[in-house]
This record gives sequence, C-alpha cells and structure tokens, in this order.
Amino acid sequence: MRKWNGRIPFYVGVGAEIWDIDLAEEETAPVVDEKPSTQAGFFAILAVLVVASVVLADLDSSSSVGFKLALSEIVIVWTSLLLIYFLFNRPFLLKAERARRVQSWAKRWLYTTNHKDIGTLYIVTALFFALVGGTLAELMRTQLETPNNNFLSALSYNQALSMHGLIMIFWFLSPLAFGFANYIVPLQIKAKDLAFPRLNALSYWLFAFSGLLAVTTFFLPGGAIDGGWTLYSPLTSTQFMPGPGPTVGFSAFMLMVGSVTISSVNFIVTMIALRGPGITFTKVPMFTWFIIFTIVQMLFAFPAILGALFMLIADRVASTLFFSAAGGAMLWDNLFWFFGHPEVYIVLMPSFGAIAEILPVFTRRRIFAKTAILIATFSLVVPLSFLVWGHHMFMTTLPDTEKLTFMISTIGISLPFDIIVVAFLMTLVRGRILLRTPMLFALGAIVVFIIGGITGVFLASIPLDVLFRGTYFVVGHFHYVMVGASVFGLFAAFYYWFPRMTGRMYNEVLAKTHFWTSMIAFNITYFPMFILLDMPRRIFTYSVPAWALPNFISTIGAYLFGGVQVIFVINLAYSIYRGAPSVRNPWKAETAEWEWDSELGDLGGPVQPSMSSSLPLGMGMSSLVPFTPTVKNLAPSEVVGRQTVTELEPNTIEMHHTSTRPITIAGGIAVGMFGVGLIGYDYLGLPFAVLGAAICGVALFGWAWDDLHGRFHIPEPLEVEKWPFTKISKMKLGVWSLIFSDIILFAAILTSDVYVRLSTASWPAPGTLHPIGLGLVSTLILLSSSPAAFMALNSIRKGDKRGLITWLAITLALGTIFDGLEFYEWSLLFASGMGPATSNALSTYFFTIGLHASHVLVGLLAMVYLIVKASKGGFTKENHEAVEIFGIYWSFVDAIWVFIFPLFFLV
Amino acid sequence: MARFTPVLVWLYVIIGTVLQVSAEEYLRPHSVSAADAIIFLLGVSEVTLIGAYFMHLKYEQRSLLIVALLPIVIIGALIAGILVSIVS
Ligand code: HEM
Ligand SMILES: [Cu+2]
Repeated sequence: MRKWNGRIPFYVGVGAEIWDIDLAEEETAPVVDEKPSTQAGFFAILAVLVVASVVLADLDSSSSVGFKLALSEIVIVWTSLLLIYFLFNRPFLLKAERARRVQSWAKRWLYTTNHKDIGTLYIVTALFFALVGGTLAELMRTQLETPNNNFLSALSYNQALSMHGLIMIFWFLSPLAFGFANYIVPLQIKAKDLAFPRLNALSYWLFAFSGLLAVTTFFLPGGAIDGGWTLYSPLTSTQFMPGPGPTVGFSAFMLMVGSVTISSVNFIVTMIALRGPGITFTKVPMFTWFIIFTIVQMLFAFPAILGALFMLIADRVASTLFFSAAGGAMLWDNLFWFFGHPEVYIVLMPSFGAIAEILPVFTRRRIFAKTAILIATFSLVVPLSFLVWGHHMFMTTLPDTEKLTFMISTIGISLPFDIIVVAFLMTLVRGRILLRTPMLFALGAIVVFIIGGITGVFLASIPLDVLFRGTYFVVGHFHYVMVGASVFGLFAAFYYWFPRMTGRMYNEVLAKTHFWTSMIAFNITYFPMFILLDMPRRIFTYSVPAWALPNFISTIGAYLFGGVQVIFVINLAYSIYRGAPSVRNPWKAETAEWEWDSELGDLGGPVQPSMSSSLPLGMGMSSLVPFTPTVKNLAPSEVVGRQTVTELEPNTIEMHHTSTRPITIAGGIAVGMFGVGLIGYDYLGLPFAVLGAAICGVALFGWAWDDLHGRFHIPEPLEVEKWPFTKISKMKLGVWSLIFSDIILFAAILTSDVYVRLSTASWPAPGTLHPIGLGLVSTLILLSSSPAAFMALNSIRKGDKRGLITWLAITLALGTIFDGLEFYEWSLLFASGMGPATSNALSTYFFTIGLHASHVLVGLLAMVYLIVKASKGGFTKENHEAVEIFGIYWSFVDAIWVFIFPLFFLV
Repeated sequence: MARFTPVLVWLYVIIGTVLQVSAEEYLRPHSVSAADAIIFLLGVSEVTLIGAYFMHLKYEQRSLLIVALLPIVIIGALIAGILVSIVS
C-alpha cells in the first residue's frame, strides 16, 4: 500500500492522489492512528459546513443570488475536498487495518477500468437515478390524484414532468442496459475487456456526473428544465425558461450524449475487432447482437441531438439565433425526432436481447428463426428507425406528402417487430417452459409489448393520431413499451445474470412476488391512461369530473408500483451478501459468459469443463453440479499500486489497471459546464468554467503522460475473429467510428445553417460580410496541411524520424496559422460591433466556424503530443499507428472545411 | 502509391479552391445557380480525393469503404427531411 503517512498538508495529499504520484516510497508504511481531537475537529468542521449549506440554501430570495451561490459553492467544494481527504488518508473512527480496506475499496470503484466493475457501477448508478425519476413520478401522480389539486404548483409540476422523462430515459434506462452490456458482452464474445478501458471509465463518469448535474438544476436559480423531455422550441429559449438552471440542464444532457458517443465507439470496436477464438458472427449470442443493433443506432442518432444541443446551448449562452429564427421550432422538431425515434428503439433493444437470451434457456429450445430475427432487425428496424421520425410531427406544418410517407414507413417498421414477436412466441410454443423469475419477466415484457405496439400502430395512422395526439393515450402507449417492455426485460436480465455477477442466487420467492406485484401494479397505473384518451397530457391539473376516477386509480397503481420495488431492492441487498452460493452455470445456458474460463482460464486458475451443451432438462439451483466455491465477483478487491487485484476464487486472482484520469476529466468537464451555465447570471460562472477546463486539461495531460511513460496497460486482446475488418486495427476502427458520428454531427449543423438561411428573408451576398481573400488564404493553408501530415506518415514508414518531426512541425504550424486567421476574422467582426446575435447570417457563421476551429484545436494538441513522443524516439518504422490515425482525423477536419468555406464565403 | 500522387492531389485541391473562388467572382454575377453548382461539384470532388488519399480509404479493406458510405445515406434522409419542412 502506498501511503504518505499523514504528515503532508492535505491539499498536497489530494493533489497527489488525483495526479497519481507516490509521495512516499515505503510501500508498507503503517497507517498513523489519529488522535481523537483530530477526529472531533473534522466532524466539527463538517457539521459547520453542513449547517452553513442548509442555511445558505434557505436564504430568502431577496439576498443577492450571486452571494448565495458563491457561498454555497464554496461550501460544497470544501466539503467534498475534506471528504476525499479523510476517505483516503485519515483512518478516522476506524482501526488502521479497516481504514486501509476502506481506502482500497474506494480506489477500486473510483479508478477502475475493468468492464465488470464499470458495468456494476453503471447498474448501481442507474438504479439511483431510477429512484430520483421515480420520486418525481410519484409527486406528479399525487398532484393528479384528485381534480383541482394544488399539491404541486404548475411550475413544479412541469419541472417534475420534464426531468422525470429525461432522467428515466437517459440516466436510468439506457445506462442500466449498458451496465449489463458492459458486464456481459465482453464475456459473451470472449474479449478480455472493452477495446478502450479508460474511455469506458470516462463514459461512466460522464454519465454519473452529468446525472448529478441534472439533479442539481432543481436547486439553481431558474430551476430545472420545465418544457417537457422533448425540449420543444421556443419553450427552451431564455424567454420562456430563464435562468442558469435550464442551461445547466441542457449541458448535463449534452454530457450524457457525449458519454454515449464515446461508449458506442468503444463497443462497436470491441464487438467487431475483439471477438475471441471461435466467436464468428454466426456464433455471437443474441444479447450481444441486440447490443450491436443498439450501438449502430446510437452511432447515427446521437450526433444529431448532440448538434441540436450545441446549438441550443449556444443560443442561450452566446446569443446565437438558431431556434429563435423563423422556423426554429420546426428545425428543433426535425433534429430531435430524427434522434428521438431511434432512441425509443435504443432503450428497447437491449431488453429484447435479454429476452432472446432467456427464452431458449428456459424452454430448452433454440430460439425460433434466429436468422429471421437478426435479418429483420438489422435490415429493417435499424435503417427504418431513421425514416419514421415524422410520425411525431403529424400536427406540425410538415407537407402532407411527407406526413403520408412517414405514416407508411411507420406502419412498415411494425412488420419486423411482428416477426420478432412471432418468433418469440413460437419458441414458447415448441418448448417446455420453466417459470423461474427471469422467464416470468421475459414473458411479461412480451405480453405488455404487444399491447404497447398495437397502440403505437393506432398512433401511426394520421387520422387517429389527430384525435389522440397530446393525450394520455400517448402516455399510455409509451409507458407500456418503455416500462413494460424495456424495464421488465431488464428486470429479467437482472435475475438472469445475478448469479453470474455476484456468485450468489437471489431469493426466488421474493423475486416471484416482485414480478406478480409489479405486473399488477403496472397495469393499474397505466391502463387507465388508455381510458383517458381525451385528457391532454402534460397538464398539471384538471376539473373534468369524468377524468377523476381513472386518475385516482392510476395514482394508487403508481404508489403500489413504486412500493413493491422495495421487494426488489431488499432481495438484491440481501442476496448479494447472504444469498445461497450459486454454481457456475445455474441455468445451464450455452453462452460463453457462463463458462467463466474466458477470465479464469488464462489466469492459471482452475478451468471447469463446459458442462451444459447436452441441455439436460430439470434445472436445479445447485443440485446437479458438484462445483461449489462461490465466485467472488463483488468481493472487495485490493488496490495495489495502480492495479486492482480481485480474488475470484481461492488461488485465482484477476488484475486490472486503474486510472485516475477518467474520473478527473469527467469531473473537470462537469465543473466547467456548471460554470458555463452560470455565465451571464453570476460572477462565479467564468471562474468555474476556467477551473473545470483547467482540471480537465491537467487530467488530459496526465493521460498523455501515462501513455508516454507506459503507465497503463490494456489487456492484450486475442484478436482472432475480426471479419469483415480483418486488416483494420482497433485504433483505426475506433477513429473511423468517431469520424462517422462526427460526419453526422456536422451534417446536422450544416443542414441547420442552410435551413436558417433558406428561412431568412434576405441574406448578405458573398464578399459583403466575410473577406473572400482572407477565406481563400486560410483555406489554402489548411488544405496544404493535409499533405504535410501525409508526408509525416510517409517519412516514418521509411524509418525517417527527423522527417517525421519536421513534417509534423510543418502541419502544426499550418494548423496554428489557420486557427489564428479564423480568430483574426472574428476579432475584425467584433471590432466593428458585430457578434453572434447580430443577424442570422452571423449567428450561423460564428457557431459553425467555432465548432470547426475547436476540431482543429484538438488536432493541434494531438500534434504536440505526437511531436513530443517522436522526439523521444517513440515511433519507429514498424510502430507508428498514432501518426496514421492522426492523419486520418486531420484530413477529415480539412474535408469538412471544404464544405464550410463555400457555404459562408462563396454562395 | 506513386511518389507524386500526394503532390498531385494537393495541387488538385489547391487549384479546385482557386476555381471555386473564381466561379464566385466571375460566374456568379451572370448565373447564381451555375456558379453554385460548380462550387458544390468542385467541393465534392476535393473531398473525395482527400478521403481516398489523405484518409487512405483507397488503400484500406473494401469493407471500411462501405461503412464510410453508410452514414451518407442516413444523412441524406436527415437533410431531405429538414429541408422539405421549409418549403411549406
Ligand atoms: C410498433 C411499434 C411502435 C409504433 C408504431 C409507435 C408509434 C408511435 C407514434 C405514432 C407516436 C406519436 C404519438 C403522438 O405523439 O401522438 C409514438 C409516441 C411515442 N412512442 Fe411509440 N411506437 C412504437 C413503439 C414504441 C417503442 C418500442 C417505444 C419505446 C420503447 C416507444 C416510445 C414512444 C414514446 C416515448 C412516444 C412519445 C413521445 C412524446 O413524448 O411525444 N414507441 N409512438
Ligand atoms: Cu417514434
């Protein structure tokens, strides 16, 4: 254990911890036991801070908002610093040995890069957000219980409503599914980990911090987002949603989208390029397949909302005019639903994958028509999901022919779903059903999905939708699919994989109780909504007497539904620690995650022969298999140096590198976005933004430092099955996937530019606003830097290290001059009193150029890294992949400019 | 790749850009749509060459090319959808 024996000032201690250096070399220095007075002092300070923050949060609004925020932020920051310090360095209240274990435990979960640990973190965090979202739902249902109720004000109701939707979809459903994906997918395809373990940790921490940021908005001036989860424009403008709260909320959403983008790239590369021996695409299990489908949709859908959120935040922070220009509402609608419809499948598909995994195991049959399911999903659902978004816009000014097209495509997309459901049912018909809890939840999900799907088809018909649009019928529809199909499917996954993740069995009686009570309460809650087909959704109260009874029943159902989840939590909490030890493959499934040898085998541990291929009937929990020791996946693992060491079984350990960088980067970004949201409302905005950027910058520098000094090792993949990309490395696949989503991001933004332009009555002619000469010069400079980057690669291919450095330096110089010229033009415009708010033309110009310039900036930083590494002899004739990857990225940024330049300077 | 290929591609994009600006300067006063079309086509050809040579697509496994073109189709839908909503 490294230790700095408590004599170093604590800010140095915290800094050293974050920067990840060893202050004291003695590995075994004893932990100093604290004097009681120090402990008392600590608690005194903490108590004062807590009281102070409560008082401050309660100050009446007459006192200066800035002052209040300043003090409460200082309180929050200091409390966290103190907590971190004591968690890591002071064995307060604890005996030395215990303190060491707490410390090791904390480091494991904060710094882990192991896919199983991160999967666990995702699941636990997602459940926390489910609690937050669920509480908001109960508040809303309480308000709607009786007519003319005033339990919540209209504003609070709107905030609860909007944040409930956002939190449940983005911080609960998707992350829960990705918890399972993180844990199970690498095991199913026999990969040692995800392709980029640190990026995986970064995704997790961005998700966790963004969720916390979203929850904080309730306590900021302006409050939380209150315009519905769809964020329709113009409700999101500063006019209707003033204050920093909503801006921070949008930033939180944006960070979550960033997290999803990073993990999509990570997963797609893992699933394509890291499949272990024998896992050809025909052998990939159903759950992994459905995660592949989900990821493909994510890669294409999320950049659109990322672009939309960039523009929205720019509108609020930098006064651009995207969504306040004429037609802004329709622009938002299109961008949001282009993303939004695929998103509803994104939350559905992991659950379908789990169901497709569970059905065959509990019927002792292979899944019926596996190929048909896969083909229907991949060739119809995935592409069509991008062509149906207009069914959310039937009541807008969309041209009639376009509405009709969307109606037809929507009905078309229900067909492949019929194939899937029929295949599921046929599997049941032919099999011998074993009703254990995972199976119950899977069956429940299918039944409920059928109801939800049918109501969806009603809504897809334009005449019916005109009637139902904006009513509780729609609310009923999407809760049947989202809660019924998605959440129940994931509950099934929970019970199914619980023994794999904890080495213990859950309590079957409690679990079955959980199923039946949930199923009943679910229907009591949501079925009345189909009856309320004339009640508008999103209203905070009503006076129509006929609506009273269904609403009352629904509220009772909601209380029940929330209440019975306690059974689930108790079962989990108890079974993790006290459940009966499980055997290795309690369900006798055939997929690789149950073989365990993907992780045990090559660590020299005992390898059990795979025992399940003969599909014996009659599944006992533990009676059939002689193997007993509990596999301690959730066992506390030691952190030794920069590795976590987990004892999986006696004599079998698993080691994994840790990294402090992901959590620090994500924390920095979250602090920075908090600051950006406050800019313009509070003098602390800028310092916070700068502080966040600084933290993030230092951590990024540290990441590069780690790489230069070989301080982080990724588990060597076996890299056996890579079809159809046999000749493409995982780094290159990664950068290309990132480029694909970036293409969509820029397409969304450039299209929005064109849209704004075509909706604006008069647009300045070329040459009047932007000097063409300057544009031409900077374009020629940028376009010349691509060949320079290419020459750098050519040099190192021949082993010419000097040439590499020279050409990289030339590229760096050209790129810097380019960005310099862009900012020079900005300064000219600012000097003549023009800014993003001046006109639609300037608003699109500043935004788009700014986004591109920041892409260039990223490239410049990467080049500095490459030059440093090259000068240390880090690249050789054989080993220079980073140079190649950089060249691809850099040329991509140039290629984008080839569209931007004419758009703003020439046409 | 022949030794001069990158130089030729570089020359093409440079000349292409100069031609774009000339189209704006000299053709646009006479015919806006002709100038815009030429500018657009030149841009597309430049991007194609950059993709093929400087992003090495020409030398990669074919499957990567297919995946690179896939987003273009989906973007097509997005662009069409958004721009159609203005017409109304
Ligand atoms: C057979 C498949 C489906 C069809 C044909 C369908 C159709 C529709 C239509 C036409 C609407 C628009 C209703 C309106 O606003 O008036 C809608 C709304 C919605 N659907 Fe579906 N749907 C289907 C499946 C799903 C699934 C699987 C999910 C999620 C897991 C889902 C989630 C939603 C949500 C969240 C909304 C409401 C969006 C809002 O807030 O306005 N749908 N659906
Ligand atoms: Cu939809």
